[in-house]
Amino acid sequence: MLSEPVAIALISTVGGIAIAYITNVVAKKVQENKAAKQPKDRMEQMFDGYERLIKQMADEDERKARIIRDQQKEIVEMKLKLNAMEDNLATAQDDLIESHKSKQLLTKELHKMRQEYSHRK
Amino acid sequence: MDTIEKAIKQARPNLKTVTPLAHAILNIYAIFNIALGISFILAIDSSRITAPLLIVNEVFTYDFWGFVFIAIGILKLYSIKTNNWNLSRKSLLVGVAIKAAWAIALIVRSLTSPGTWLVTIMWLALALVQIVTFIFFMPPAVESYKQRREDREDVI
Repeated sequence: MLSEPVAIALISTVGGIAIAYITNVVAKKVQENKAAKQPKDRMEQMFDGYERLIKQMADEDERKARIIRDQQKEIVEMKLKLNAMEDNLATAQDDLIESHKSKQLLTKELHKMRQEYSHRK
Repeated sequence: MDTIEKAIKQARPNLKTVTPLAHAILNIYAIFNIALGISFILAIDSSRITAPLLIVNEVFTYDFWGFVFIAIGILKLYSIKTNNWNLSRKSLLVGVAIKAAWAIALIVRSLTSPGTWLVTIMWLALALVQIVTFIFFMPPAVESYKQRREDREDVI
């Protein structure tokens, strides 16, 4: 087994290193807390300002792109609706022409039938 | 090292201006360490010591610890002279490790042989002052300009 002085020396060394490590960790935490409370230097503020501006511009660009996408979608939907209306209109016009022709044909036939009937009398 | 890194290093204010208390404590500890080291080498009669603390063999003698304390003291003075905050912090941290190791050894001795608590408590106070100085009074060592730039690029 280890002699007493060696054991004490080992425990002391390990303990000393552990205390130094804890001290270092605590010091870092304290520095971080201090840094969070204190205002940043002017260069840091300028960099932050640039970062904020870039982010703001990116957000604005995203918003514009979204509006453009929505409007393009709306245009496509309106185009489809317009095409459907044009098709319906063309069909209705064709129907109207057909109806007009049929009407004329029936009118002629009616005249003819009346004439035939008056001749028989 | 970039020119801007050199400029930042030179632009760092003197430790005495930023934190006079830490500067004073660092100076006192530097002188104390050197005095203690010299005492270990010159003023201790090993034959009269019945219960050596961290003396475990022919290498870790009181002379060895004397040179260690002198070296730490000189390191502290050098860091103050060159205004190297990072070196000051490191020298304090090494001092904390050594003082804590000695404090543990002294506590063990005081527990086994009562009557030596006065020296132990004084040593504990010294270690505590050094720890508190390191944690609360020392300014942070400024990171290199390169590191700061890399951190910022990560954020963007």
